[in-house]
Amino acid sequence: MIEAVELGWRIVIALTEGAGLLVGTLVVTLALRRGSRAAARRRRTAILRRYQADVDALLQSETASIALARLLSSPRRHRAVIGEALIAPLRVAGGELAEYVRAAATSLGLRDAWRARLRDGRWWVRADAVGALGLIRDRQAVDLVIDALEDPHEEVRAAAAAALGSLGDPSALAVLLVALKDPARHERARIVDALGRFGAAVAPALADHARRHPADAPDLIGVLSLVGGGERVSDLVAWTADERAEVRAAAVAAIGVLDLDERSYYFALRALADEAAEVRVAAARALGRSRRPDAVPYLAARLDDDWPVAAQCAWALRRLGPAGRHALAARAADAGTAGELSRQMLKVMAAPATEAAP
Amino acid sequence: MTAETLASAVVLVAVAWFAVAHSVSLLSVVSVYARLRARRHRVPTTGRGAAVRSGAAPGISIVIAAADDPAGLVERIQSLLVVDYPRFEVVVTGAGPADGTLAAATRAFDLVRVPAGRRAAPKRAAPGVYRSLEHPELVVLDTAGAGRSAAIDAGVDAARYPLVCLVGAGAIVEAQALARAVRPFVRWPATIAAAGGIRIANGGLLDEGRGVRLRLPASRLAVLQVVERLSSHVPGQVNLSAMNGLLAVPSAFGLFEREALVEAGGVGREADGGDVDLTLRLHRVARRHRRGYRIAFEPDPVCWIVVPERWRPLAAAVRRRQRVVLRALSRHRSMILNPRFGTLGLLILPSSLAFEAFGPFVETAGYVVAAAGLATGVVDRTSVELLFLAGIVYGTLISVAAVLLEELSSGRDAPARDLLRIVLHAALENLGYRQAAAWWRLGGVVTAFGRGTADAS
Repeated sequence: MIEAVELGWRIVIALTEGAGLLVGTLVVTLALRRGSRAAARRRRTAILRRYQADVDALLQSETASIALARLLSSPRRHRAVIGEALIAPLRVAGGELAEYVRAAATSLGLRDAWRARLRDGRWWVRADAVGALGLIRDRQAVDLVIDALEDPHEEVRAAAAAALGSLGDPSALAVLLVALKDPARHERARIVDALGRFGAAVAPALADHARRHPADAPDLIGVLSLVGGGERVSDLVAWTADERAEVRAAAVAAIGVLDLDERSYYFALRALADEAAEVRVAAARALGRSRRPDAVPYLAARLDDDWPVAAQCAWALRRLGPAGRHALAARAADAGTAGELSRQMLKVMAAPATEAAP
Repeated sequence: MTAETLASAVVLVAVAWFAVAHSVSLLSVVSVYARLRARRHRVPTTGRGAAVRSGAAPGISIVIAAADDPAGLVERIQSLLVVDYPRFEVVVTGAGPADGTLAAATRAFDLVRVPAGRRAAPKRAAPGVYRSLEHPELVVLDTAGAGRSAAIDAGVDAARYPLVCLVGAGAIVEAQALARAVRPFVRWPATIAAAGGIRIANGGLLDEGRGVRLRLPASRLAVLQVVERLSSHVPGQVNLSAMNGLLAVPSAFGLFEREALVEAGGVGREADGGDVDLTLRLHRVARRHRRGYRIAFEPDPVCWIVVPERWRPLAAAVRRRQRVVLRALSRHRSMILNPRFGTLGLLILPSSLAFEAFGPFVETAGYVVAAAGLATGVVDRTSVELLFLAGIVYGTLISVAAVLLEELSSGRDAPARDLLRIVLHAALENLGYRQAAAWWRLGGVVTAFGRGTADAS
């Protein structure tokens, strides 16, 4: 027994020492890492404090030239932090401010630095650089930002899409339209976001692109309803007569997202009699959103349609007030799909409308 | 044999047990975090990765049971509908008029009952099928009061995609979860199931702009469980999956090949061994076909759970878990030491059985005998000190190393206060928590092999 205890001691002590050595090494490594990072943070704060007043002055036209001269005398190794301070106000305000900052960034050599950083190995450095180029609206860097749209890291791609949106450069439009084909909805949503920021000015170009590339039309029609602009309704209406069902469906759905005017209401009604079920579904949904009670008879007539269409029509009737309720009640006693759907809708309408908030 | 030698022998067995068990976990910890660190540079942590972006990504049906959280059902569905994945649907099963879940979901998502025949009617429980007019990818099943596992099986039957993702009660699914969990299926087509990293979210989530990070829970018990997860659960799972011997795809989040899941007989009841039983059945079915297969574990986080913060519910949970594991092992005892199951049968299952069934006895007996023996003078001081060194000091060093390695491999600095707290708890884990857990697990062992009536709790 004594020998066993003796042997146990030796083994356990060796094991414990090994583990202790490991913990010791880890503690030292972590301490070194934290120390160096803290030092970097302190340095950054110190630089910011030193130049913040000059950066603020730079953005006031009266004091700009003096401030710029002072910033130009700063050592090069402080410039990266100065750049961060420069673009910070652009995140909340745009317009002329971007011009000032761009001019200042050019003379400070920051634009070249940001461009060089697009090739950095660390993704967050690339993302920041792309974002900075977008914020200062560096139109000469559009090609570089477009390249970043293909970056392996998602954050960089997101920053590039946002940057292209704020750049608003027409040459980026085509690339964004191609990127719209990405299968993931998050990526597409970002591109749509960026396209939306181009504003109504690009609506004709979008419509044109959709005409020339029929395959992209269904996606683009959705974008078109988001960017705004007066003539797009004509374009959308024109597409409701397209020969491809998915384009007609997208156009009707897009019309439904906008407020229906007399003309588009007429086209939505017409689409309710379309030969393709997906178009009729979109039309029923658009009419349900329209809140126009005069659509009720047309919708009620479709309650015997294919199930998906009938279901959307029943939903639309539910949203169209007393007239819709009346139409549903008239069919509630029927056997078959129409009666079944009507009864369901009436049951939902009868239930208290309060949200189920726990 | 005198009482003295007997007592010393018990203590020495416990010492040997601790030395072996802790050394195994030390090796696991080091190898896992070395691997995680190497991975960090290869696999994008936030992106979906090229595999998922290509058209190769298989469609996934997420199946949840409405009864898991009737009040929060609508929010839960909403959070699942925004999962970042190209092709998926959400199947909510077991929603019924009884608990108001069907009405709430109907209001929130414009549900409409689908007439029979429009969708292949599931075989079990003849559910009513509802579709959302707002979200084409949402399906709700009314299973007419069928139990939880029958309802989930009905959901699996109704799923339209080849992969099924089962999400358990209280699991908050991360937006990238499907993209991460599907990686093994894309990389190795023989994969039949995959588990992912589960993190403890008691402290709440902190949105840092560049991804979400976890805050350390305020509760001491929750932090102890964080330490336990880092120092034993994660390393254990990674090593088991390296030998293709994963014992449990957790019920909180698991991705399954639909056909394999159906062939294995569905999710099964917790009383029969829950997720361990299901995973062992999957191993069995796959082996029966004599095909190469894989049940994978990806340590990247896929979901967050909230763990008990009080002693009593925690003890109950530990005991229940112990029972579930042992029930499953006893149901599948024909696999143990069965050469047909390879490493799983010859190494993993026997050692798990030893660890789960005898571990609590050896540990508890060691401590009790050492304390009693020291008081009465039956056991000499040296043996007790040896037990202390092997059981507590050595264990503490390993827990602390695990926590520090995690911090090092995560690449960012936790606030100093949090780091200090978690290191402190890594020490506490070995001095108090582990002993308590051994005691609770002992209770679990006793009830698992005792009379079946003990299952009522």
